[in-house]
Amino acid sequence: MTDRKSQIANRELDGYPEGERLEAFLSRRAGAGQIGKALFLGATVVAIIVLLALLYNVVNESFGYVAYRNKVEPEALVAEYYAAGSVPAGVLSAGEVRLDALPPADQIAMLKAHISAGRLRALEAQQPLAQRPSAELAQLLAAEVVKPEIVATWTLVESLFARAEISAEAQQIANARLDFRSWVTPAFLASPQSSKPELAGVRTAIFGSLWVTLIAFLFSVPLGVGAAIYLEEYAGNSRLAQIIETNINNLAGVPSIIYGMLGLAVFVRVLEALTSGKVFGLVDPTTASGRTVLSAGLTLGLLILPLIIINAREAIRAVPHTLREAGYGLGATQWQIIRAHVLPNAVPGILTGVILALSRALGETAPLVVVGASTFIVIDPNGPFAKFTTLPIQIYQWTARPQPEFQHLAAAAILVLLVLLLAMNATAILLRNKYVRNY
Amino acid sequence: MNTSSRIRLSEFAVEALVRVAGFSTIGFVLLIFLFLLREGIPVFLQVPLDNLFGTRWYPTFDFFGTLPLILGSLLITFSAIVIALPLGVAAAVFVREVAPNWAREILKPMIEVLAGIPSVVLGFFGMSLVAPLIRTTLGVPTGLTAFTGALILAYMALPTLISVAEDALDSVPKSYRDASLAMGATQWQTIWRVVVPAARSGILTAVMLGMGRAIGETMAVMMVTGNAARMPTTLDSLFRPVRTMTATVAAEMGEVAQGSTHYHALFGIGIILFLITFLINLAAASAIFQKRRRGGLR
Repeated sequence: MTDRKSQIANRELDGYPEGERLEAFLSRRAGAGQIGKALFLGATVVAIIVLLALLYNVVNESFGYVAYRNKVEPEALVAEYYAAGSVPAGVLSAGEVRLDALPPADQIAMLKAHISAGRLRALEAQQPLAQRPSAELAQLLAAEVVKPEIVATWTLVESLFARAEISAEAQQIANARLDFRSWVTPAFLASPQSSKPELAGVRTAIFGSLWVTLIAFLFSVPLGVGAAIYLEEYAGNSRLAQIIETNINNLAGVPSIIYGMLGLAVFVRVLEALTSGKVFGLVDPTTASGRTVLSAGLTLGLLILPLIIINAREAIRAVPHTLREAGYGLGATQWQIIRAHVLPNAVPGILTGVILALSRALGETAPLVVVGASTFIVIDPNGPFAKFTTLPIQIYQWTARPQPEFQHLAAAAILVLLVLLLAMNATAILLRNKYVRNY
Repeated sequence: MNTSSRIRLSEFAVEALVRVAGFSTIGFVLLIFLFLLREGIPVFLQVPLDNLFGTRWYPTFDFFGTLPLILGSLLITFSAIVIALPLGVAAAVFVREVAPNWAREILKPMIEVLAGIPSVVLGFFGMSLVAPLIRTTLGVPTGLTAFTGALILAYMALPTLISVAEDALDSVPKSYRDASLAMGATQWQTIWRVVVPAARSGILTAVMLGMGRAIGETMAVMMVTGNAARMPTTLDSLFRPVRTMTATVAAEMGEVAQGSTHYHALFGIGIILFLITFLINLAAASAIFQKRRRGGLR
């Protein structure tokens, strides 16, 4: 080793050239530096290109042409109900039929004429048709009477650059209409899960995600901040404190799926009476097991606990010692100092850590698959003891389906998830840049 | 009760509370360990060891060979690190040493955003873009291969690698760079011969942490590797479907009967996975200690 080093040293010291050879040597040396820099830049560019490819992939699948077939054409519906020339104003605009421009009384009449008596009774039982707003009636008409069925889909890039081929292909399909659609629509956000891709949405999944994240927040934030205060302010440098620190680092490195197994064994099985709500006298026959929002939330709470502790400790450590000493000098007790001086100064840092941890919880899938998310629910979760599904799980289930329509739905749901996560991350970064003070 | 004793009482109560919070973390580690053992140990008693470490994983026919799963996980993890290490170190050097300030201001938050991308999203990306690409360019029968998984995992480990390696470069004293530049070395020579070697132990930590992240990853791997439990012993295994420990647990846990041998076997896989990640984390921690002891020198 030393031999080689001295060789290198000798070569570079003794062999330092002069004149033109020096110029050549220097330019070679500069060239090597340029190549090195290009490699470093290249690595960064590769990482960015992959990120862009990922976004391209998601956006490409989220928009594009669809060919669909209506069970009852809207034109036929209108033609059947109105004599020529007596169609209400606004219904036939620019070659399209706007069902929401029909008067509510006519909408109800159309529904009654086309829906079976049993289905009609079920709808009336949910909410009488006469009390529903016109927009909702139009949605009902679309879903129950027109019943569009998607027969082919194209991606955004295909739609933009191969328009002619697409319309040729669409004309081969009998009765098909071609339409450019965004898979992310207000209806997509507002409708529950469905086995029909044209009606499926993410409302139940979003509510599930919010509930689970809320439980994780309530569990992990008090515990995590408490543990951070203990470690930074009370524990000192004792052996016990070191053991706890090692433990936290270990917890942070445990794979998320192991948390899922723990959640299954402890929250779903051992604590079933608690997590299914039995001890509170809530026996819901559909959620007889412990596979509830509460189990999922506690599992994710455990998962993000080490993240919250580590970030909160850093924030507390950044509060300068002079603040504490000034407090002691005035005769304040330790808790008074922590409450009135240390915590207020550490709050932005703690909050940043909490938001980042929650965004991790929001995107986590594997532990919830193991804990037992429901594969298909259409009812919003209404409390900690409800069955649940979350946005990432919904995405995973859609990607597992063979039909291409569900791939588009998955891409649309990913777009929703990414926007949510990006908003959270941006908040955290802004918060940190704005409030974290350097003393 | 007078004021001073009331203050003393609240001090005592608060200290007790935060102490409980601090100690609870020990409790959680114990909880994980105890329950993994409680649910996983029975499989080691019920199934003979040569079956358990055999080469066939067919739980419905009582074959619980975990070897293909363990090797599958290791194959994907190591391939991912081999791909991610040069990229990660080079990107870290670029961000810390080469990039102008304005670029650093953009790149650092971008790395954090990258770290926050959920694994299902990367899995979707792998399924719908990378896998078809691999199938057509390499001419293999399916794009869902170990290599696809390694590529996606490499990308997932990248932000961890970059940010830890960047911290390591950051902790190299400025005097080292100044000394090297003053001797007439170029920036490239300074980076390659002084700064990176001085940060070596920190880069090793980054590799370990990236590996820990990769081996525990579930969803993305499950979505892109094809999940065939076969022994990856031949040379072309990298371009064939493979199955990992994590994917097995996630895919099968929902369907097993509680208390069955299969159920215990899945927890047995959990124990093995936990031990492997524990060792990796231990190695990462010891690399950190090494750096501290030697004061940032090589």
